[in-house]
Amino acid sequence: MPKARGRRVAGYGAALLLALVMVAPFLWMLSTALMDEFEVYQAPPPLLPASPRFANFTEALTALPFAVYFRNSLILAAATVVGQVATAAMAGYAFARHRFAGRTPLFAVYLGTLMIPGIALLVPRFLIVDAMGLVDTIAGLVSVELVAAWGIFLVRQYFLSLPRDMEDAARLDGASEWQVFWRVALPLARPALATVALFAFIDAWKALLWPLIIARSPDLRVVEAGVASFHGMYYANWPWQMAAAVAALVPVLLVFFVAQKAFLRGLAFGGFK
Amino acid sequence: MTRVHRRVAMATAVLWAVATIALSWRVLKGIDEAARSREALYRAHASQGHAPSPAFPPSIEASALASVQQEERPLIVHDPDGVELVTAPVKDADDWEIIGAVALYGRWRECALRVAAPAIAVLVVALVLLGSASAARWSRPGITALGGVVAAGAAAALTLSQLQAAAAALAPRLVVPPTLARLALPSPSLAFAALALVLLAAAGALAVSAVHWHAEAAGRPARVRETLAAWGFIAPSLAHLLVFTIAPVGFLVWISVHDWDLLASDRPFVGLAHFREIGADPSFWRALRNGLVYALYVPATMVAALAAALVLDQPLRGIKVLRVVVFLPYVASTVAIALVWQWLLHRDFGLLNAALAAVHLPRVDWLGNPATALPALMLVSAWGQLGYMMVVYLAGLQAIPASLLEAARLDGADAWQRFRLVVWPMLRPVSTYLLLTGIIWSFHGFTLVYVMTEGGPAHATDVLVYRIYQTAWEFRRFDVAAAMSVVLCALLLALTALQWRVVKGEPADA
Repeated sequence: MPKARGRRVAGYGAALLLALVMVAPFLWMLSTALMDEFEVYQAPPPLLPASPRFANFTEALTALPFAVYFRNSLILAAATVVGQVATAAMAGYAFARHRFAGRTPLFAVYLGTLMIPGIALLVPRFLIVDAMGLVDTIAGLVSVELVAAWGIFLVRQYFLSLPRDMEDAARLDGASEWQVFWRVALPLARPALATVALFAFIDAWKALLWPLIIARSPDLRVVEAGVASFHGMYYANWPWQMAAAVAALVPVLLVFFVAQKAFLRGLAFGGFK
Repeated sequence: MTRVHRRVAMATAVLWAVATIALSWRVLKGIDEAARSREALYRAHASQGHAPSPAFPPSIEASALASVQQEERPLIVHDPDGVELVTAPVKDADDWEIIGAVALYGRWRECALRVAAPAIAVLVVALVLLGSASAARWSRPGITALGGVVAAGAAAALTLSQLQAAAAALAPRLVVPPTLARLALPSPSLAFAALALVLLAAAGALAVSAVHWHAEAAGRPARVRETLAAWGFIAPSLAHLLVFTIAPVGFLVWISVHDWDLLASDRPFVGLAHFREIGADPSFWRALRNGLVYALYVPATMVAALAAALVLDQPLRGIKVLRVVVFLPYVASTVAIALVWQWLLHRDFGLLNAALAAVHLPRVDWLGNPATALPALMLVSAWGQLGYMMVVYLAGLQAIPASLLEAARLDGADAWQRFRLVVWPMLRPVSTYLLLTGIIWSFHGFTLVYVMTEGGPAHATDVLVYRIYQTAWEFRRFDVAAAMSVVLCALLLALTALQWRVVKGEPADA
């Protein structure tokens, strides 16, 4: 069937083109990051460095204290992951498994918060954090994203799809509510928690606006803000900028490649908030 | 609304009324001591010298006010209904110049009515909304609950702003007794008093229901145990949501109708002045329009994604790799993406212009030209979203039963007819979802603008979020930024409500 074959060729062609379009900017980033500072100023530009210059990475990452920025980003990401996973696990479990007084109105309130666009709350959130005296502190940096209503609904949904026999059995054996949650339910929910953790990590790593307004001193800067200000300082040195950009990508890409499965599961749940 | 909810609503409203009246009584008592007259204040806001003079109730004779200002002491006048009013002159913050006058209701009852009644009315609405949301009588409890929360915040803000107005207007004129001085708190703490009141109201409502519930469930220890455990599990997230999501909504509205100068000690109520200010500011409208134009990349990308999905919808080897690759732009750091695209779009040495030159097309100053800067950002966003949309469409296509397409084929439908009559109707829900979430998401965009153009050139890429950022954290106008945020919030809420209406079967059970 020549028609089906033509379609297949078109399919492979489109797939290849799409993959190229998606990957090309990243490859270009990497290629430029290995070029000499003045090598890039040619027309037409060379696609590959004449000889790869790995020193760009060490030079760019020490031109500003990127080690500090990475530490801050990791703290932010870790706190966000821990906070969102813990609260999502607990609240999602309670909403899915417990029948308790006040559940319905509470659930309605949680649904309502899902609607509120956080981006519009920058000013009051900032002033509240300011009033707590947490502007320009690590606590202020991590404070606002410690809970994600989205994750709570994901965990709840996941628990609803699981049978509750094991939990009931544990209860009959005399386990306390906390033991049932910690020993029985939590291990079962691991896939859902992995999804929450992954999205929490990605979002925290990519966050720019909140860190920008809350962290004033340079030693509280996160990587995103650091690369952005690096961009302003070394405007003409594209290899250095690209090297910094590549460095900023590495952790989050690593996490993504390790946790693809969790990513696709989150996607199926409408992960793009 | 169940009977329990109605009782809780009533009890909370009564508590609120008592609290409000007690508060206004304290204000009145302070005024009483200072001015030796039993008056309440009528809308005496905005009299602190740097704000426009208050609008007096039209019922008060202008001449009476003039004489008050002249005589520099309180005078008793009557409005056309014969209600006794006491007018008092208001001096500026230095207690030097008389800058206006306030009219006070002569009787305590009228004051209470005017100060407390509107707030209580709003509160009752809030509680009814929350109650009916919890009773799930309305199909969308989330929206109703949100309305309730917003209304409760508004009630708190309303009460406090009126009390503050009362205290602030008289403070400079009169010898301030200690009680009044304590009440005329500096505004930051007042804002947080509003926050505290919201939390207090919530706690009060909870306490009332808890007592009620306890009486009901007294004979069932297992149920008590389960409820306590569940509330324990929920408490951490609830506390966070209250402080960082729910309270800020009310606080945001409060800031937007007050002056919020970081240096000034008072934050007078200014009504809609900030909204008028942004309404008269062409750069705000420019940002709003830019945002709407920018959002057009969503439908454009959807078309491309659908086309790609249609071509790829067949058993191809290696498609799984593609499915991972297309998410790179979403996962990757946005600043890094902004940088590489800025480099790709570079006027003199960018790869894109080199490609244009290779086919003898003129070079374009993508980010430096007001005409192309916004389209350039749209291009970057489209690149970022294309793969995600394609994957969603692919999943949608694979969910279409093959038998349906086969039947259409047997009926003699050609490829275009099959697409139009079978495929597209099946993809409609997915498309609506992509369109609405995409547009909502497009209004969140900040990083690209911040890194690539800083809103320029000539405001060509200024969007609302960037305007808010600049207004608050560069120009230090938190109040104006709050007014803009209210507009943005309303816009996004409307879009989200639309999305929830369209996407049925969201997690709206419970």
